[in-house]
Amino acid sequence: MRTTDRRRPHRTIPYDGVLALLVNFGIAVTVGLYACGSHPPTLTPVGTAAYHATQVVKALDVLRDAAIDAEAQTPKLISTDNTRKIVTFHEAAVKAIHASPGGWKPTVVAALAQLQHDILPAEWSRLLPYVSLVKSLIEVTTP
Amino acid sequence: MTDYTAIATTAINALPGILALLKANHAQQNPGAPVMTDADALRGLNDAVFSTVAKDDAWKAAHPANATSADGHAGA
Repeated sequence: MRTTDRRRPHRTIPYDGVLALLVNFGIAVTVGLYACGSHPPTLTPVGTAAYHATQVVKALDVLRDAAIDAEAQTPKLISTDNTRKIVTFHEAAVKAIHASPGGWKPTVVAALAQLQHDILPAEWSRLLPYVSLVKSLIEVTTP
Repeated sequence: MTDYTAIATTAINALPGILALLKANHAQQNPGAPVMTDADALRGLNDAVFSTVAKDDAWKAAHPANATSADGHAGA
């Protein structure tokens, strides 16, 4: 009887798993951004701006929550001082969005750039996926 | 060789989440669904802002800036 060695070759990187994750992440981000980028057709421009602003606030919440969770780990993945900077940025950005639902974009984008300047690159890199989410959502939801 | 079975399985496992997103988006645009008004959108923004700012304030109160943090750095 002929036997076949079905063992898979040794790999140091799980390519299949990585590929599957990338495919699903791509689908989820595409669908998610599409869902967030659209808006209820019954809204006027004022309501649409408020709706989009709410989506960006929620994305900023994800960034803030990720930082707080990282700070709560032992050892800390993000220092308390840098987490405080992120929380302070979040509060200022959210208040700016609330004060001007139609004109907050330059303020928030500039504040995000300043935040990146103030935080060590090693810690910033841990937040990069969440920052990318915020930036993508800002691009999708604002003209 | 690429294990397409694993990829397909993972994709299938992700389908419920993707469908939930699509359903939520569809519900917003379906004429039979409750219609969102400008007042609803503005109220949603207000609620989101007030609740999340409260969380910011609570965290900052629990981590005062003048305290020495557990990682050994003095506060700003």
